[in-house]
This record gives sequence, structure tokens and C-alpha cells, in this order.
Amino acid sequence: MTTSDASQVTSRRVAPRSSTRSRGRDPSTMVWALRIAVILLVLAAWQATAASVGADLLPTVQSVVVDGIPPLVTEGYAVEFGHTLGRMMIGFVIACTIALPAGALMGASKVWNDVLTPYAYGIYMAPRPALLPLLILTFGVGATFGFVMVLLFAVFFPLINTAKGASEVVNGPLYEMARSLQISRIRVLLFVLIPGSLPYVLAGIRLGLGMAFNGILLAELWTAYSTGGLLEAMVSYGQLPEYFALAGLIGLTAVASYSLLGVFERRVRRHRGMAVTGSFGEAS
Amino acid sequence: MSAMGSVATRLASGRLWRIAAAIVVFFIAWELYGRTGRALAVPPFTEVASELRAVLASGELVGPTLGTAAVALLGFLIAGVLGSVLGLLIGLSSTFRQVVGPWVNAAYATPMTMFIPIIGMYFGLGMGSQVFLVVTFCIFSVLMNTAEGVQAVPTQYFELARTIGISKPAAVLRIVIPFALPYAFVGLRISVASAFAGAITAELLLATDDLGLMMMTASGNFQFVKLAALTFYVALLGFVAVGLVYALERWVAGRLRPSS
Repeated sequence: MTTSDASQVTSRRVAPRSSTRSRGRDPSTMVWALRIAVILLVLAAWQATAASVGADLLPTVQSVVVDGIPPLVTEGYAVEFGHTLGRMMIGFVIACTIALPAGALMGASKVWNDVLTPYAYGIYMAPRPALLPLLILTFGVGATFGFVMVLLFAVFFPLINTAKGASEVVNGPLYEMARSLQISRIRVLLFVLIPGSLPYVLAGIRLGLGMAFNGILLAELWTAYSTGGLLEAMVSYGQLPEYFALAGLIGLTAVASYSLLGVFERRVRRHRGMAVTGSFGEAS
Repeated sequence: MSAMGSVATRLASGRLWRIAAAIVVFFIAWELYGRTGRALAVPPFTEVASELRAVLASGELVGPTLGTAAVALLGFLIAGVLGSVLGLLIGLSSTFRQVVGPWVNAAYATPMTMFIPIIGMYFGLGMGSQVFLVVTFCIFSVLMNTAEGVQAVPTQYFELARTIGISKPAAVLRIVIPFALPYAFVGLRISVASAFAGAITAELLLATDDLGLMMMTASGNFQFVKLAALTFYVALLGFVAVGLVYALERWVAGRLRPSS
């Protein structure tokens, strides 16, 4: 999370882009060459380390590709990860269903902001993994435990970003104008509040989804269930090529969803004429 | 405005009362739900508070608290130093940013929890693996916020530095770092919560030890009240840690503010 993602957490504003140094242009051929060189360097370092420490500790790149990737399909590991993703998405939708209206309420009303702020920051500041032993006793091993973990991990960012977005709109000139023109509440909600806070909401969803991945994996590692159980078993039984292939699939899925949401968010920001607070290293 | 003045203003505006009321409502709801006996793992708050008092008085929390805090602090410091230096480099050099930035973003989006099994294998089931996990939990907030802070330095500052003949390293030291420091502190504040989360995760899932071990033991012995008390205690530690970094941030900001 950066300062521009959740300004309420950070309580700081990023200076207008025009007055700061150039954030990024379209990457040149040189930059692309360097990026590819970084990948090659990492792969070469991996290969050299694997050759020196042995396959029992680190499989070679070929071994991960040849021995690790096919079992994702033949042994059904990818399907199992799909089930994990499904459970994660249910938990995440529950989190958003709570976070978005509550965040809008916090942003639109000072009273609700005061009432809900302790809960929002309480969830964030308390080490949530500490709840694992209590939650397992309360919800047992199974899907509900996963939903609750995802909810606890993912709810903060959509909540606090929505609150920030709604607050910006409510304190902005457009909202003031809509009120003075006595436009109905529904129309204000549909045409002012939701579009105005959308970029913040999307940033919250993007960050929350990243936390949801951590939440579901932690739950499944704790209970040795589904994908988490597979990851533990693979390391325990020395199936390292399979472990790295499955970890790669999980990582790629998380990065792809994060990046896609980031692209969508930047488009919305551009469309609304807002400063593009894209991740560094990307053309913006 | 002084801290006391700020509190007085918030009291007068009713803000502090509402926040306090929300917290009181939480504890009352906890107490009432606990008394229904529907969930064994959620005992009434009064029982949890009295158990926590007893555990604190017995002194059995001192060693584990120091152990967990040491893991969290060490990981936090390593992540703080590495994150700040990398963030500074990324913020200063556009080529470095464009080359390394996408990989940093990818690493940030990758769920680090999936590496828990392999971290144990590589770093052993001891403090090394615990600290490593804490570093992976913390480093990105510091790194990304520092980079954001460096990039937010207005171009005019650099032009002015060039005009008055300040060298590049001196400009970094006297302009960039003071400007980016508040951003880095925001990253540190976010990271300190992650550090405790990482330490507890490591003690529960990697190398069972200290507060994690106490929680596991209470859970295994079905000591629900003690487990709830320990969980509450760990949450309080998280609040205290964030509060300490916040206080440090305000102190540093006060020192850096130019005197009028």
C-alpha cells in the first residue's frame, strides 16, 4: 500500500503530479531489455544455486517446468486451487458487501465515521493471524473458517478507501451543487457519489484482494486443507518441483488480478481527470 | 495545535465521546454474547479481562512477550532499512524504477503466506525463519511509501539546489530524505502492524514459540478463557506498537519542522 492508495490511513497527500518529478513514460526498448535481463539473471542465479545445493533443496528450472507443471493438470492441483479461489471470492464478496456500504456511510457522515473508525482500525492494527486458534475453535475446519479469515484480512482496504472516496465527494463542489439544486438523494447517489468515489473503491478492492489471497492461504495452511494442505504436503514429501509450480500458479493469479484491477483503476482515474497514482515502473 | 488541545477540541465536538461509545458498545456486545454460552471460544469479556490480569500477574507473559517482540522488532528493523534504501533508489532513478518497479509490484501482490512451508525448510525452525517471514510481511510498505515520497519531491527543489550549487549527494541528504521521511514513516507505521502479524504467524505456523506457543498450548488444552485472554493481549500489543511508531513519527516531524 502506498500513500496514495489509502490516504486516510496515511493522512498525507501526494503533491500534484505536474509539480513533481516525472513518474514514468512509456518504457523504452532499453528498459524492456533491462527488464528481460533481470529475469534472465534471476533464472541463471536460480539454476546455479540449484546446481550447487542439489535437487533436494532447490529443483532446477527445467525440473519445475518438466516435473512440476504437468501435475497441476494431471493430479488436479490446479482444480484444487480453483476451489480455493472460489472460497476466497465468496469471502471477498462478503467483505466488500460489508465494507462498501459501511465505508460510504463513514465518508458521508461524521457521526458514522467516528463510530466505525475504532472497528476499522482495530481490525487493521490487531495481528489477525492471532485469531487463528480462536476462530478454528469457533468455526471448525472447513469453508466457513476460510470465509471468516478472508473477511478479516480483506475488509479493511475496501472500507477505508470507500470512506475516503465518499468523503472527498461529499466535501467537494459537485455534491454541494447537487444539494443546492435539490436533486433527489437517489440521483445524487447514482450520478455523484458512486462515480466520484469509484477510483478509491477500486483501489480498495485491489488492495483487499491481495489481502484475501493471504487470508485464505493462511487459513488453509493452518488447517492443512485444500491448496494450503497441498503446499505443506509437497514440501514435507520433497515434491519441490510441484511446490514451485503450484506456488507459481498462485503467484501469477494474484499478480494478474492485482495488475488487471490496477489497469482498470488507472483508466477510471484518467477518465475522471484525476491524478494517476499507478504503481511505479508502469507507464502512467 | 498541541496534543492536549486536539483532545479538548475533539471532546468538545463530541468526536471522542462517539469513539469511546463505539468501543464501549463493542465490549458490552462481547460480554453479552459471551454470557449466552453459544461459542465456547468467546467467553465473556469480564472473564477474559480477569484471566489476563491473572496471567500478567503470574509473570509468565514476560519471556514470551520479549521473544515475540524481538522477532517482530528485528524483522521490522531489517525491513525498515532495506525498504528505505531500495525505496530511495527506486524513487531517485527513473531507469532503476522502470526496470525493478514491475518486479517489486509483482512481489508485493504475491501472497507471501504461501512461502511459509518452504521458509521453514530453508531457514530452519528457529528465529531465522521467523525473522525472514516478518521481513517479507513488512518490507513492501516501507519501500513503496519511501519511493512515493522521493517521487513527490517538487522539481523546483532540485532546480533550486542546482542553482545554488548543492551537489547531488548533498541534495539527497538535505532535500530528498527530509521530504520523503514522513512518507517512509507512514510505511513504517503500516509495517509495524504487519511485523506483529508476521511474528505471530511465524510462531503459530513456522517455529512454534513464545506467545504463539502459549496460544497453541491453551488451545490444545481447551483453556478457552486463557486463549481469548492471550489473543486479546496480542491485539493490545499490536495497538501499542502502532502507537509507539506514531509517537516516534510525530516526534521526528516536530524535530524536522523549521522553527518560525
